[in-house]
Amino acid sequence: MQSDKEIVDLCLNDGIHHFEKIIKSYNNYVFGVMMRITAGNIHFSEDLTQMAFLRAMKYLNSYDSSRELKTWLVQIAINCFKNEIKTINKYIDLEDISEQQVYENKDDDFFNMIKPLSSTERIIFTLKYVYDYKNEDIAKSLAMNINTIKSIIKRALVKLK
Amino acid sequence: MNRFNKIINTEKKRLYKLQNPNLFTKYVMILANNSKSISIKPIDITFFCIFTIVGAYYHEIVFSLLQNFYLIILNPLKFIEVYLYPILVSFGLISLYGSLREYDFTFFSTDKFNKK
Repeated sequence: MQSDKEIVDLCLNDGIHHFEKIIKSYNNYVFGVMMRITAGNIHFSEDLTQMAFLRAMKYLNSYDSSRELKTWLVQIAINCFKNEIKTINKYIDLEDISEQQVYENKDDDFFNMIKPLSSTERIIFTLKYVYDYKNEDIAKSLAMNINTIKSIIKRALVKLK
Repeated sequence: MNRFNKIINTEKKRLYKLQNPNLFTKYVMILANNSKSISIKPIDITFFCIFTIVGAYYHEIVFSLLQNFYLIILNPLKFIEVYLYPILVSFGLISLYGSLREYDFTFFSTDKFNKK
């Protein structure tokens, strides 16, 4: 079994076709993060996952091997999500995505819970509570100040109460 | 807060999977493979030099051809009669360049799939 670092080295030295192994390993993980951040929009999540892997392939040279690969991939996917929201205003509200929602949708569903949160709050809240990221890691991933992250978490929790 | 924890714990256990991960992987690889790339080969530099030298040596014909280019509409037969050889030579050089470029090794490329 090859480590992520070995696969990345193979991609850089022997050809990007080795990147297929990385996609196979992390496609569901990245897709899961996107599903939560987009509040269950399957098609948008698939698009974002695809965009994230394509961008990761393009910028693989800049990957810092001291970091975990899946964290880097999630960071790229989140940037794709933010760009999409900003440029195309493609974000769809929970009401609109209900038809596209395939997963079980109960009254106490996570998607319903995060409904009042903004996109940035959703990203931070999901990474913090569902993926157990530390505040420092979130700050690093989103290129934000740690105090800003803390205040956004606080604000999100107030909204959810 | 119990309800909050319950939702978070349920969400943590929930696994999201792509409908067809293998197809997704292949699709991403095909998209990456089809992305546009720029490459510079030694043959490009060679032919750039050849075109420059030939163009400079026969600059009078090149300028004359450009100045009388309107003849291609007004009097096409006259245009072909006068400029047949320069046009044939240009097409010949371009065809040779195109065919040689296919077989030459790559000097610089942004296409990552070329690395093998």
